Amino acid sequence: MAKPYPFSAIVGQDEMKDALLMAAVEPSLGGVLVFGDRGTGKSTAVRALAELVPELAGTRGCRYNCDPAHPAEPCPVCATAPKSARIKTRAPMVDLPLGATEDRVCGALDIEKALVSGERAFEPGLLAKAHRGFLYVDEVNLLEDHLVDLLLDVAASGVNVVEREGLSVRHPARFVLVGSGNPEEGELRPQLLDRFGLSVDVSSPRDIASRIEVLKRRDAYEQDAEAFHAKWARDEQRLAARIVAGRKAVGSVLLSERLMTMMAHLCMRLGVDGLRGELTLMRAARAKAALSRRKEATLEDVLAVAPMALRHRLRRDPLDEAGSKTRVDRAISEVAGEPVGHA
Amino acid sequence: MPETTDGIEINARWADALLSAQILVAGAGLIGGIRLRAGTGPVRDCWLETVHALFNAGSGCGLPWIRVPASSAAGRLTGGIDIAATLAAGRPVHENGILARADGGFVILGMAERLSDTSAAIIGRALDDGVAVGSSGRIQPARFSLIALDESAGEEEDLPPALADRLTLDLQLDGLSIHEAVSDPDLVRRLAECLPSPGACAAAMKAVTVPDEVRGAAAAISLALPESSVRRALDLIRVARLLAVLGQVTQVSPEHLAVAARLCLGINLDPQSEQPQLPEVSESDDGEDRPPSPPEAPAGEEQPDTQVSHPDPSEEDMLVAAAQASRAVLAALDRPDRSMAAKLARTGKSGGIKTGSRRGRPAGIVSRPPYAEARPDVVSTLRAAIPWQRLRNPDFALRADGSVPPLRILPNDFRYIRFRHRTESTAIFAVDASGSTAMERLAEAKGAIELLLGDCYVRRDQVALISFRGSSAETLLEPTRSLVRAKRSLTGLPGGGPTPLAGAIRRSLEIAGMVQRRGQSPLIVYLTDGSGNIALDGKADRVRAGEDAQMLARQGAALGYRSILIDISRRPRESTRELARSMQAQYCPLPIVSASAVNAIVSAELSKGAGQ
Repeated sequence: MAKPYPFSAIVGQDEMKDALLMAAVEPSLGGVLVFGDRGTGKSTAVRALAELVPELAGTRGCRYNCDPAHPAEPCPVCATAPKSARIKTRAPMVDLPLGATEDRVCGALDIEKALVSGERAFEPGLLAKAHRGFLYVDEVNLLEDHLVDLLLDVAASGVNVVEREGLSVRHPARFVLVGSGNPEEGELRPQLLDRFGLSVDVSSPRDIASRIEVLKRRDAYEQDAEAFHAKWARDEQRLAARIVAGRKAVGSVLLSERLMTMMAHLCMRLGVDGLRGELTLMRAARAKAALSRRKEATLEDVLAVAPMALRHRLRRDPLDEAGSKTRVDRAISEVAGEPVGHA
Repeated sequence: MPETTDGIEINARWADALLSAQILVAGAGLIGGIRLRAGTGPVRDCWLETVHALFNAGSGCGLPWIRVPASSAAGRLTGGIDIAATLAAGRPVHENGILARADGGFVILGMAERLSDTSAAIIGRALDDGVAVGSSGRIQPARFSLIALDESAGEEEDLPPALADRLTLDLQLDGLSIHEAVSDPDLVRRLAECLPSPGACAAAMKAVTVPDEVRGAAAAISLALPESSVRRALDLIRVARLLAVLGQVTQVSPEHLAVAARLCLGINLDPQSEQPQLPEVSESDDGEDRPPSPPEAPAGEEQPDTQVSHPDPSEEDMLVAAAQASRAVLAALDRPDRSMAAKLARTGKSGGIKTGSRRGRPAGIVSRPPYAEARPDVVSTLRAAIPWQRLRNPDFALRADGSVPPLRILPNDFRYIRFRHRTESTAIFAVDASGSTAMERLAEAKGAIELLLGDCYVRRDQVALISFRGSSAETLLEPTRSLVRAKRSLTGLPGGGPTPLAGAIRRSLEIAGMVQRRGQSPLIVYLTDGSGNIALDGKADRVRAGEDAQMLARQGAALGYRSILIDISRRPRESTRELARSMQAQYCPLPIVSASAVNAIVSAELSKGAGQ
């Protein structure tokens, strides 16, 4: 496959780009859901993201993508591998194809070994492959429900447990789940929606200037991908450096008591159930601040991330013709006006 | 473009069809493919043969030309383990999927409108990436062009959007007669001569420059389309480039774009023919009335001006043409817009029987897996295998000690159980218990519900009940199948007071949403005289109440719920009919309410949903 279209060359769609970068900086955010029109660069952005993420330390021949410092228990390679087998690998970007079976996703009995030598061995699946990287599900709303359940479960716990056909295996599978889809073809169940950390809506650019820009860049990329990459290399490097710095800094970003109170107010005002909304809001605000190389999250950070962290957690209201974004915005202006403004 | 062959006139439409064929073959692997709207018949065959011959004349000799039925399972498309070969070899043998086998060639997808969304997404991915990922994770090159044979007849049939969006060309052959569709080897040879040499096309496309105003026009056209996908604009530029390559020029001209728009979108933007045409299409004024149209025309004129340093007159002309074009696009696309409810009903056909289901009632035994990963049924597989045992193993016989020799079972013995499963329907009754509906009519409505409940118990359908009177609507009965509970809540149904119709519609939509999320299909039945006089906020305001009801009715239509409005007023009024139209409900005036009549209407609708 050719090198994907560069991330920084994507025209507009700032919210989607921000959400993906935040997820790359703070994997515990719990994944990103991108819903929107066709042909808006959803897949392009996700594939480009993997190119920006720094390389990982790994072991040659390892099929569980183990961190050499903490090898996975069932991995036969890493337990015995010498130091010389250490390599640097790209952060995996695993595409989950729609037709994938559960065996393929979780891993299953290795048929080859079973047939040839009668040995019962475990063949790791896509979840193992995505460890420490990204798992991308295009058309997540068309995926079988049981597979979506399984994915979200593993994404939340970071561990894949396989108990079947006489196999009993558990291995780490920590990845950033990115789902995309077109809402016209079917909605995700609200329970599943809630488990994605961030959710962004994308739409085709509505003004002619940015459309022309899209056409120009895409055309240039199609005609000569290498030259196009060379042109964008500096922007890509700068962005990659931001991610590296952000990852380092995200743990130490401060969040004032005042902002925490405001987040709680916001979630209450919107009637978001559970604490997941607040937690995500907090993490996202930190990630946003870390990406902008700030030591402390500001009100602007919170306001910028609130729509994407909360909009998919609202209860559906068939009466409200305004989109969920407007509802979040409305609540923000109400809440942000009072407690924060005075303090 | 050859105009005649052997003295036979080629008419414009067939000339376009031949041009599409040239573009398709020249751009094989570079453009997604073509949507061929035509019924089966000699014209379509003739066109396909022409494409095939063109392909063979150029690079395609010996390259794949694979015909695929739309019912192909996802596993067949991407490939997987070949069971027969695996058993024979004793090690897993991978079989290439259809998409990987088509690498470098064409896939002809028959009855594409019947393609499942999953298969469409898989094909779409392969078209995007140029690779097919097998179920075992093998990545194989799959650069192919798709010819989707679209035979959709009615408005409710359509190509899956994931696929339609990726098909570059759009060709309509219906209406062409067999005499107009002329093709012979000589013509094919002459068409093939215009094509660039195989392999050189990509390089030739690179050499073609695209002026900014053409890009601007393409962007304007794509913006004017209802789905306004950016892909359309990219497609237009690609095809315009190919046209320039075919015409052996190095710059895309506005004419190329106009032709591209005709081939890709089926709209005529020809600058010459536009003058007489435009007044004709804008006669209806629909094009200008649409909200997106006015803002974009000025945008089309302003933006490139700021971008391009020195605008010249021809560019201005082009932009005006682009703005006009976008209006013409709108007008051309202003077909009787398919209703939202009907469109959504395609995806939400949950009331119908689902075959290929994983659960439900066994409905026969088949030798093909009804869905991917189906497990063979042991008993029927054995039953299918046993008659062949003596043939497969001449020594097969019961041994002296009474034991049975091992059976030899081949993959073609596998049998699967096919399940049919009908999703449940839930009838949601919204009963007007206000003063304007007299008490005796309310009693009849109650009776109808009880009758229906009896039937529903047999059909495994459910019933919910909302009554509205006074200032609000209340849910008397959550979706239930319990006759006892329903009767109890019905007896307690009081009447009298004003009519909060809007509130009732809102409540019904909420319940319908809940029902749909549970995987059942809702049917909303309104029993009302349609004269709502309480607005949503509970205030008595007849005008606001009417507006609120209309708004909610439109929302219900947009959500695609089936609904029936039974008008139980003595004199049916136009406003009630209007309301039914807004919610795209079936409208049944029933001045003399009787329980059995209501029951008949609802039962018919429920069984209609189930019988599909």
